[in-house]
Amino acid sequence: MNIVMLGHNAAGKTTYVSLMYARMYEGIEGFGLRASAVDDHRVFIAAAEGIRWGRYPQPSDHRAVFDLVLQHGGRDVYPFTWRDYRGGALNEHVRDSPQAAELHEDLKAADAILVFADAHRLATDARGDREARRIISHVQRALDAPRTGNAVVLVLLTKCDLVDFGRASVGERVTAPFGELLNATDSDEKVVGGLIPVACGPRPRNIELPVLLCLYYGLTNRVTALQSMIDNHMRDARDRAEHDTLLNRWISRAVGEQSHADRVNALWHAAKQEYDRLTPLLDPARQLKRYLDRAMGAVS
Amino acid sequence: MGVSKITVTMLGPSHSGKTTFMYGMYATLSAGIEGYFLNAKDPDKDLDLMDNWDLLCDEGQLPPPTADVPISYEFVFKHGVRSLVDIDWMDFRGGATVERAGAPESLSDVVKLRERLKESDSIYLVLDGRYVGEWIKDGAPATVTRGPMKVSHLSNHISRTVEERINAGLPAPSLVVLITKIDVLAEITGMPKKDAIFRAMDNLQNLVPIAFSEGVTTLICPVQLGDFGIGDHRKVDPAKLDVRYMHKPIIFSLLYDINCRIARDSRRLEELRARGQATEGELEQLRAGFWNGFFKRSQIAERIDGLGGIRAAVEEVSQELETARTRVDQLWKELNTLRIVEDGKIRENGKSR
Repeated sequence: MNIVMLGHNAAGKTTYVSLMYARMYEGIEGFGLRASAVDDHRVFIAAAEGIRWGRYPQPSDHRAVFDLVLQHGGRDVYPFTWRDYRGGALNEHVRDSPQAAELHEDLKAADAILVFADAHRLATDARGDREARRIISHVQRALDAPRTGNAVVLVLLTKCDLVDFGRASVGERVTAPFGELLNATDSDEKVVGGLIPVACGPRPRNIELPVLLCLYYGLTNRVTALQSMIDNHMRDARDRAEHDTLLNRWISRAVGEQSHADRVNALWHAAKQEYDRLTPLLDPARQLKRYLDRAMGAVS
Repeated sequence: MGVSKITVTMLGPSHSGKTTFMYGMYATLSAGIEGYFLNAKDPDKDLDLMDNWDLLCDEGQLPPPTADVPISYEFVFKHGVRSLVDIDWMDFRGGATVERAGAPESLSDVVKLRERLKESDSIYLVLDGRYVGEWIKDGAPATVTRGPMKVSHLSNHISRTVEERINAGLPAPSLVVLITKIDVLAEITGMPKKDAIFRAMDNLQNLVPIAFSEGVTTLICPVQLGDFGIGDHRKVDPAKLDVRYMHKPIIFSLLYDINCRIARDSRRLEELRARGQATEGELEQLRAGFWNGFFKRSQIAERIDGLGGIRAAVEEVSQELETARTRVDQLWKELNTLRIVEDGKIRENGKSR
């Protein structure tokens, strides 16, 4: 699964990924994360420690790709890739900036896009609306790319702890720029969308929800794909079995070709292999859904 | 229903507001409005449009006039995240639309525009609200053929295009009469803005007779970027930005395109059904008689195969028609406050008056 973070400068992308990793590394209801590269792990943990003391990481000055693995019960369950960009890449021409070109390609290949929107800026600066518009345009273009499973688009309202949502019309001002996009994702069965307020300061809020939602849909896409492969193998095996005769076995052996019976065996074997890949995902997917139902209910 | 492509061309003299309209339309639709979205396929073009819009919002700087080389845009028009139509849009400089192609001083874009009009599925005729205001003030006469709006010259382009396309067996292009800068109408005419807009729409046949011609379907769409009023329009007060109706013309262009497709598919459906009936008749004849079922097996099998293919095609076209009609109903809702003229008759809420 490919997860891409999309947001302007200082929207909180690098802070989020560090804090999210540290929180998930500690573990939540049996789920955890680990980075494939030890260096990434060290950088995330150190940055998260700094954030707890009010020291925020430097914004990303280059594209970063992190290979992470979802764990359940201490066992690796689902590997995924997390991509971070320098916020400025959003406002650069593809013809001039290799990083902008990479961003567009990565967005097209993304299974999940995390949009980072600075809630404080949206509440206090009219330019926030226009910045949101630029992001929406990127997301819409990315969603044009063909995909096999459901795509996930989550808008993370960062710095929510700095916004007084109790004040009249603040909530509307902060969320309105993404209203049409979220309506669009809501009305499509192939896209999952949502808006999650997060805080990444010393008192973090809803940090784990975006990543776990993405991983849940990634897992279910994977389960669906594996199930479909198993069904195909089994259907083909049944079709072949109907043509299995003693004569076919003799002739096939005589001419050195695979008989229908051999093919049936190979297909059953392939189905079994896919089934072995599928079963370890089922329990984590169920547990994750249970956790998310509760957590999302609390956010709503 | 597959995604089709439509070609849109704007006609209007320099400074009539063509480029500004495009920027306003893009700014409105790129973030989505009423569920509709518009995106440039090329991210660099998207960035250029957004950057220019930011300049307008931050500094009140209007987009620069289009240079001698026309700028081409490929847009995707969507409802939600689903593409409805691809749009081939080209922004010509105003001069290209009013210069003569044969004149020695004419540039290549003049020739290019003439060629492009032939391919255009939708033409936007841009009338500058300042001059429309003057025209209303003068009593909306029928004799304005020359003047800054260049209506006569532009109408010739349109009528030639309509004729050429019909001769080529193509549907006539849809026409949008865009009245830009409607914020100045009240100040120029001395009437309330709404009254001035209705006066313009009620008398538009005097100004743009081609829009009321047989075979032409026209949307009359007043638009504004803001409440800037008359004055120096090289720079405007960003605080007065108030974009109105900019997304409606493209909805109309799509609606017309779908209606053309419905007409084409309905004809195809009739043909398929007729072929189906003929094949069923042939099959019946082949099966008639005691021995035919045996001696004409191959012919019977061929007809059965053919009938299966026809039935599948009927099913497919019927489904496409149903989807298209649902889409048309949805699009009409977006246009029900505007005036549409079809073969010279005004339609309201999707029905002829």
